[in-house]
Amino acid sequence: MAVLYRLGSVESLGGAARAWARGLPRDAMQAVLRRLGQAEILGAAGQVCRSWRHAVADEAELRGGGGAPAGPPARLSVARVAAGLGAGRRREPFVADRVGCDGFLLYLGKRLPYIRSLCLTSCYSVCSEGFVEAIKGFPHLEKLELSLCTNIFGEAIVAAAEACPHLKRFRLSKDRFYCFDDDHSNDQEALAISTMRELRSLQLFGNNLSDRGISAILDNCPDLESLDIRHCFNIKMEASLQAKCARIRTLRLPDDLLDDYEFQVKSPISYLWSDGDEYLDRDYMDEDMDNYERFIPEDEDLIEGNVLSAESPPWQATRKEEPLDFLSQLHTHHSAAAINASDYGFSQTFSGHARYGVSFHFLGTIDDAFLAAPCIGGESPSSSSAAASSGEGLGGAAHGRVAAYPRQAQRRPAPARQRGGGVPLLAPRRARRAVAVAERRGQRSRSRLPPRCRLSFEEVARAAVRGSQGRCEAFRGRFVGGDDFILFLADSAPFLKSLRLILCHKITSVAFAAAIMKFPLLEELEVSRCRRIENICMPELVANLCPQIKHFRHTRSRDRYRVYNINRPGNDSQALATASMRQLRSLQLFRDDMTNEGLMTILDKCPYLESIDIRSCRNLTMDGTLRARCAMIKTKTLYPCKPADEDEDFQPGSPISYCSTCAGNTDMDIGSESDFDDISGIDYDDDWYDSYCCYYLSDTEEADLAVHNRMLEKSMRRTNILVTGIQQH
Amino acid sequence: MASGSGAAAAAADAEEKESGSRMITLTSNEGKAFVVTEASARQSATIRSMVDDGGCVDKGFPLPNVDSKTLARVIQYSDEHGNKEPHTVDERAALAKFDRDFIAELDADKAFLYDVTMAANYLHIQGLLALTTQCVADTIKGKTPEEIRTAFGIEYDLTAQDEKEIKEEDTHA
Repeated sequence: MAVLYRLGSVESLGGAARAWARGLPRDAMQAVLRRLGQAEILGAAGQVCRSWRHAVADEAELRGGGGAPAGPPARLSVARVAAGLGAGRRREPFVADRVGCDGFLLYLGKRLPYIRSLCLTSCYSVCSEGFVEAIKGFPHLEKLELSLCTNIFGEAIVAAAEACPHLKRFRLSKDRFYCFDDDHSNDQEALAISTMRELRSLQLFGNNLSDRGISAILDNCPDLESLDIRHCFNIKMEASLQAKCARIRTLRLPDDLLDDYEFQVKSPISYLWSDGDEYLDRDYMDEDMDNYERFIPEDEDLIEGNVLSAESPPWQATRKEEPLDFLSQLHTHHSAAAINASDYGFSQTFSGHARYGVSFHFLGTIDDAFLAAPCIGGESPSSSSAAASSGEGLGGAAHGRVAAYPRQAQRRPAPARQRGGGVPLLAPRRARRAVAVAERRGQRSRSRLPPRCRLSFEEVARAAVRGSQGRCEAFRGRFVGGDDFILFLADSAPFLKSLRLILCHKITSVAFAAAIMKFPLLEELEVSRCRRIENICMPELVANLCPQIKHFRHTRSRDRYRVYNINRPGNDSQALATASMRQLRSLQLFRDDMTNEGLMTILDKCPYLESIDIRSCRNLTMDGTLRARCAMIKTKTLYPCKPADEDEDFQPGSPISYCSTCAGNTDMDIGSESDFDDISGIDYDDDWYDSYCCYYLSDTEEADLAVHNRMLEKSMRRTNILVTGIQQH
Repeated sequence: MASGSGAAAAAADAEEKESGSRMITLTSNEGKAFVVTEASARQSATIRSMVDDGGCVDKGFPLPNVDSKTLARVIQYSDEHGNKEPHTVDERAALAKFDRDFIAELDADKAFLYDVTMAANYLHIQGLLALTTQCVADTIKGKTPEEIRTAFGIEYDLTAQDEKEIKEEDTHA
């Protein structure tokens, strides 16, 4: 009977007014809200009265909360929360990623007319016609991003330019460039953009505007500071245009590297009738390159003199004062800042300034360090800037793209072969000057590059670590270095929080043990298939020396089971050592010899464990007791005998290990890694993988790099002294 | 709901026959007694669980949260859905028409709609709750806050603080 009295009584049934204002019980209200579209919840329902407002906020929380599946509902709720109904995030721009339709945008215009920033990403259901109407609702926009919205183009941009007179940042990114042909260039969008008089920053990716369009923009937008026209291959960059570009602070030309571009790029389609790869792969590379040469100004000094001149005082001054601001300029186009605002909040941003006008910026972790030295002091003519970028990890980037080029090449087409798939990404025939492509499969293109000398990943990695001036917090290396390197890292990065070593066969257990002592702050450690480190009881060392360790992954080399192909005798020593990492949040042990007892010990002793993955641990038997014990773990993969899926990326959930820049690129690497790793029985200690992972530099370029390294080392020493000084205090 | 009850009935056929004849008394908060068939009463998950527990079938169920007018209307719904099992297309169509008419009447009287929604929620009559909440949602759809307030007769009670928040959301979002 008590059940009947559970709910509060509906008192006198007089005024409907009061009844509705009191609101429905939570369940009923949610039933109502579930039947409403996002637009209504977003707006009207939340503003009716207080009780409804609370109900809507509750519902938003409920939908946006962790329990929600990452399907459309979650996205809708993200959109709604971004619009400000959720608590405390009102300052963020409105970001829509794959949500919404014309109607939603229209509604949004009605509901949030004062919005200043609007980012639409992959909103395929919004079409030009709808956008033309909707954009009129946002007269105060200062930032507009239309990325990968394939159905918004042409007229829509004209409408945006008319409707939003205060636009300061504009981004229009397409997934690929179509048609290298003057006949196909289309300046409609460019001319529309040229009417955005207050524009400061502009990114046009893969647009087929021509010289005429870009000069109109440059002529009419006096405040333009940052311009990114990568993959706009119909722009020829003639001399007059170069002169006009001289005032742009941050300039990315059509052929520049795509290192900081966060979306997946499809290879350009050169002619409409071409059927794809075959053509691109051979003909384009060999023949059309002659045409391509035309794109590149012969007289590079002009650009260099005007754009790269470090002696231009205002720029210098700005840069020195506001390194971070400059960074943000560099990445302005990279409006991932808006899309992944939260990710960015997590990732550490380093900005190091060294003497000699070399300036290094580290965005995020070293993992995806964007090492850019866009400006070089004039006093040292032979100095060079090394721009090394690699989604895979500086240093370890066997499959990444690492490029180091001398300053003359800064505005030069980068050698671009799309990583992984072997899909050519418009590789200009500048191979002899441009430096490095780590080519995965195609031997052909390597043979095109005259072998001159090698620069190992280790050197690039060292440069990166040095550049961080002791503030490096995350390092990920695949195939990188040996004992020297890990010891160097230990000395140079005392604040390291995340260390991931994959296939680092040259690192011995002794060196590892010595190095691990110097990483007292380590929170995240991955040691995957590093053969020589397996000989010691590595977990024990880590447990003793790194009290903060929260995420641990250890994968043994594949050949252990492959050779024996039997169950090795159970051995719980590693598991027992792991059990003493009390702070552990996530744990992955692949191919470990532990038995049920070992796992039970871990489960008993690590109270914070949230995620466990124990594939290929063949001595485990998932019996009832163990399953029951594992039931409290949030995420688990318990297939002791199923070796597949091993190369799934390590996602321990620590903010530092996530990198938005390379997030889109991991798939390829995973696939290719397993291909690569499947070649069993190869002695990794041979130099073969060194040659596999090499790049080619001209002699001059290497000399440049050496000078550069020395400079960095000097500044590094200085900083080290500083750091030591601080620590002594 | 109706189908769930039907399935249960099919599973326990004999028991259903016996219980189908039973009558159950529901008492509104004004003390008025309504006698309904058990099948009809079973539309309510709240009552169903208590009948299954075997308690107080004979004494009847007092419903202190529901007044006579609302209860009569709710019983009208549950009789229609509980006592008849729609087998043919025509029967189903008739039931759907009943639902449409039922909700159309409620839609005209928003105060009564609220009472019925509350009762449906209280008695856990899922079909009825779905019907009424859909009606509420339809009313909200495409309206401005002001229009919603008018439709439901809600007084404007947002404080200055709330207004400020709403304005901020508009400005900064």
